[in-house]
Amino acid sequence: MKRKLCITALVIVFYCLQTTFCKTIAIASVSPNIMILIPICFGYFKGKDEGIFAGCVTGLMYDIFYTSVFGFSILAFTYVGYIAGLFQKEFDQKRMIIPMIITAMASFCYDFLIYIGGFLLFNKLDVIFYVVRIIIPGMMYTLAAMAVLFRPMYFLSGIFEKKDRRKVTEYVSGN
Amino acid sequence: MKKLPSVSISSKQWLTGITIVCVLLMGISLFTDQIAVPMKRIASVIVIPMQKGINDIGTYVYSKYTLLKDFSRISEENLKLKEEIAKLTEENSQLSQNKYELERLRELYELDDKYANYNKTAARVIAKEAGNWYSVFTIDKGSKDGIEVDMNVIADGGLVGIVTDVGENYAIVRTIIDDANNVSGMLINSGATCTVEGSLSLMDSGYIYVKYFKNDTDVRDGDKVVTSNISSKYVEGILIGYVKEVTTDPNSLTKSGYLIPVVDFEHLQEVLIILDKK
Repeated sequence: MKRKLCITALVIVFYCLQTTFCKTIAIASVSPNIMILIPICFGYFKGKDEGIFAGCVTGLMYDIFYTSVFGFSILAFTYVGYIAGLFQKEFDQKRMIIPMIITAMASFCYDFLIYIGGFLLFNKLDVIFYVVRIIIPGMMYTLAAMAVLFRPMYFLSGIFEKKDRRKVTEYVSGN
Repeated sequence: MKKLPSVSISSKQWLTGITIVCVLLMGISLFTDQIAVPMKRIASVIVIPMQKGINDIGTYVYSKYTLLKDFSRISEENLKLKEEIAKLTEENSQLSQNKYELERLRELYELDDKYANYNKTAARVIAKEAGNWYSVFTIDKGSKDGIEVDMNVIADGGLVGIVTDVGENYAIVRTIIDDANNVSGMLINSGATCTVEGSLSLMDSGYIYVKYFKNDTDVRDGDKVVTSNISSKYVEGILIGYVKEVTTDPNSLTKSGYLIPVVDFEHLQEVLIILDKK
């Protein structure tokens, strides 16, 4: 439970950074999507269940204030977390290639779905422009953010785990 | 995620459950925007003060950073005067911060004069939309400061956008350059009406679209477009921007072209909200 609270707190912090700090470091009006890294990292570190939980909370936070179709980001991020969780058995602290590929795919697909729902259906048919100008730069920037944040996230995950483990041992010794 | 201790649910079941709930929520949200209201209320208590804090730190660091840049340039040129400059910079930091504030407040005051007949309140931009698709931002004033949905927002002497959502301590503003936004406008000199449409695809040029002038309208580059008297949500006479390259459409019934907005949307820090609604 503590671990879940920790993840929720992390999501809130990341959300605040996303809407303020990430917007100031935007290059050509495109900023990295650091929120999507949370389900990817936790799914990849700890498996499907945790990926689903992290994705659910992240999506909820993402949807609360700005999205007009409530539930879309929850759904998308939950699946991202689940898919990242499928690769948990490949987890290796030193190899970053798998999370990088997941990040690239997730970022691309998520943005592309937004394009379809919010733009293509409103007769903005210039797919190439949106892919080249928004989706791919956003993906690259998110990848860069992943490269920077991967280790800190692993470290954080370790801290959260210690807290949980302590609780379990207390519980066991208490009985 | 409430997990009953005795029942273990597999991750696939979780996934299916969440999928069903989300699809339902998405369906409902097409008809009403009230689903998230209770969650917004809870989240805003935590998130808005944090965003405000980060924003304050950002403004502080940025002002320091600009100072630092100036400092390094000068010190390269005048190595001998380094110590003196350091002393002066320290002093200068305080003063220039004040000056920065003063300039902005002065600008706001001038703006105040221009639209003196409307009641207004100033607010700070504290956060922007999380993704890269929409041009939406949050301000630090809400219903307890008298902000309501559909109030108009101005800055730099021009129209910024409209309030689309209000919480107790925040309000969400959708700008006129957002794809979902249409403003009914008119030419200031002839009163000919048109529609101003935001567009993400024009983001690099800094223009937005202006459409549906009647074909017999005389439009020249640089003509001023203001909010029209027939608009149902925008109060009349707020400057939106200047017309550019208006040509006749292929249907030869209407004319359309581009509009250069007055407001610098990249660097919005403070805005004014018009408290009178149409």
